[in-house]
Amino acid sequence: MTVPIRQAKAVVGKGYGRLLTGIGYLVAASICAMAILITLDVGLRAFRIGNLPWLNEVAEYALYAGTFLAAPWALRLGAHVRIDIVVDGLPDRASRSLEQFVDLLGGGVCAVLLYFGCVGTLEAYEFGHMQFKTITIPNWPLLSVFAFSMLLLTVEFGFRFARASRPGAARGEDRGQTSGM
Amino acid sequence: MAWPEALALMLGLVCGGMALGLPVAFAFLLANIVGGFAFLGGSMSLSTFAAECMQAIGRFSLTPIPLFILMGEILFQSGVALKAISAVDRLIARVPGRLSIVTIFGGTLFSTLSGSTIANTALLGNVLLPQMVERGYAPKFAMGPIMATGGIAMLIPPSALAVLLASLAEQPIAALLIAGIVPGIMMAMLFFGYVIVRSAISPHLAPPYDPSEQISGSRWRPFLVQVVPLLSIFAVVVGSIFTGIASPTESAALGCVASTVACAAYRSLSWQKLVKAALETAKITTMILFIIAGSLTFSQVLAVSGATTGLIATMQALDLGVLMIVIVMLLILLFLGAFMDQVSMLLLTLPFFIPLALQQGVEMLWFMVLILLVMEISLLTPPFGLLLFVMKGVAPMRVTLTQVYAAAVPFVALELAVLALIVLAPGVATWLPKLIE
Repeated sequence: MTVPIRQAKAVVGKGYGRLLTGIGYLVAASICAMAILITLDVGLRAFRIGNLPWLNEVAEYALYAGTFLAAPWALRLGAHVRIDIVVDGLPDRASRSLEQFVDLLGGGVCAVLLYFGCVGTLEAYEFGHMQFKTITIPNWPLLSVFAFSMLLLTVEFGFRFARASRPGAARGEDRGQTSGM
Repeated sequence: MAWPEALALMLGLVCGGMALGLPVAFAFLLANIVGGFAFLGGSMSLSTFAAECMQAIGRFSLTPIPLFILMGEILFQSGVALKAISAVDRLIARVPGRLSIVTIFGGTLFSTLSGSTIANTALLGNVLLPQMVERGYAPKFAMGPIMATGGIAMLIPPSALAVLLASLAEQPIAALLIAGIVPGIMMAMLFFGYVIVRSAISPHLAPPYDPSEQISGSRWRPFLVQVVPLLSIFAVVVGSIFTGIASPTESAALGCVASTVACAAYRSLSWQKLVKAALETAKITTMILFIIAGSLTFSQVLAVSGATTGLIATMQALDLGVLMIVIVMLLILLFLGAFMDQVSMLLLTLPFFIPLALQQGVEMLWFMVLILLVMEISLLTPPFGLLLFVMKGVAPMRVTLTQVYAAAVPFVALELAVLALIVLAPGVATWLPKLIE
């Protein structure tokens, strides 16, 4: 591989990593905001000052969008639960091949869902589907979060596939973890 | 396709994907795509998948999950929890198996402040295990109470998993949170008893020592300063639910604010620690909710393909009786729990278990407490119980996984005893929530 191509790949990889990290920080901030706003709402209600009628819906959208937007970031950090028995039991080369197969499978799943996510978003846009709750908003921006998440996940599986080709990478730190509850 | 084949296909895809090392959420998504094409009319169903995910994840009732995790993370990252455990350590005088008693007391205390079993186990393991090793405790006697008490966080509120379970089963969250208190305390008491009796019979497992030789100054002051005020956080969370000031969701937010205020009052909070706590929370929450999104269509496919009704009809035809059906379901969960994490096993089995339980007229609150207990037990069951690996991670290098397994066995037996008691006497778990109602 020539030096400029390698440098370009490094720049893209770094930029992409920063994008994912930025999203992680954003989602973390949204959880803190949720805690503060819900407490404020309880306080306002307790003192009969009023309430924040839009809060439940905003929290619901934040939960959905946050989960999907942060999923690629969590994948990069190896924070998605997985079972490593087979990969761990294999010799390094076979382990890397299996890891790459799994990355291809994961990338394929996300690519299929990216396609259907785009179809769903475009349909919602064309037919003007709306969310009629306290806040009335069109459906398509919300659905586009799903498609965007699948795009990032497909790309991240591609990066993982490339990383898994390095010796010892299948047992590296970008592996899964178990549930945190 | 007949329902047994449909069931085998769907379970095979999920379990096969997981066995290969595909992250659990993506194994579910793979099954969804295949199941969507095979049973739900193909592209039509998959193009509505995003909208269904939005409905499934975007539920206000799920917000306590990140908030309960954040609450524990704030106390953990700020070091306040660590100081509380140290204060408990000073308080407990010379008793057989002293450090194990400190572990159980401190761990149960932290369970009232944290919804995370991992944080609980990691904290206890990091703080107390080195001391135990230094004092000559047998490794298996040292690690057992840490792992067992770590799991109590799943039962005693705030419990993120209880919220998830009640939310998925569409049952009252507050009742389940309260129902976990008595079994959680019972387990802690049993652990106390076991440790005291065992160390009295075999003193070499936990060599006695006089704690006063290393503790100077007041015993009670650190407890009063570092521990007692923290109980106000538990009071805020449970009290706000009890009094009806806040819903369980809102109580979780109040708990986060109370934790932050407490850490700030102890001058233990910094911007960096808060950011770390929030990032850890975001990571864990994403992992949990993404699995829920992934498993969404799974239960629909099982229902449409006839697998759910087929399996329920088969169970009915066996004419086992309600109690035996409940026991069979618990045995299935215990088996799965030895190989799978808690969220995955819930999402894999609830599509069958909830309709079956409802159809059999099982008391749902009791049944959910039993599920929570089984999930707690499965944290410790070899070969893949989650806390076994958390323990291995924080234990000294020379400790083998076999020793960790051996350490868990007596505590699994004690937990099974509590499970058996609640199977036979449902009132033990349900009287408190019923009293509050």
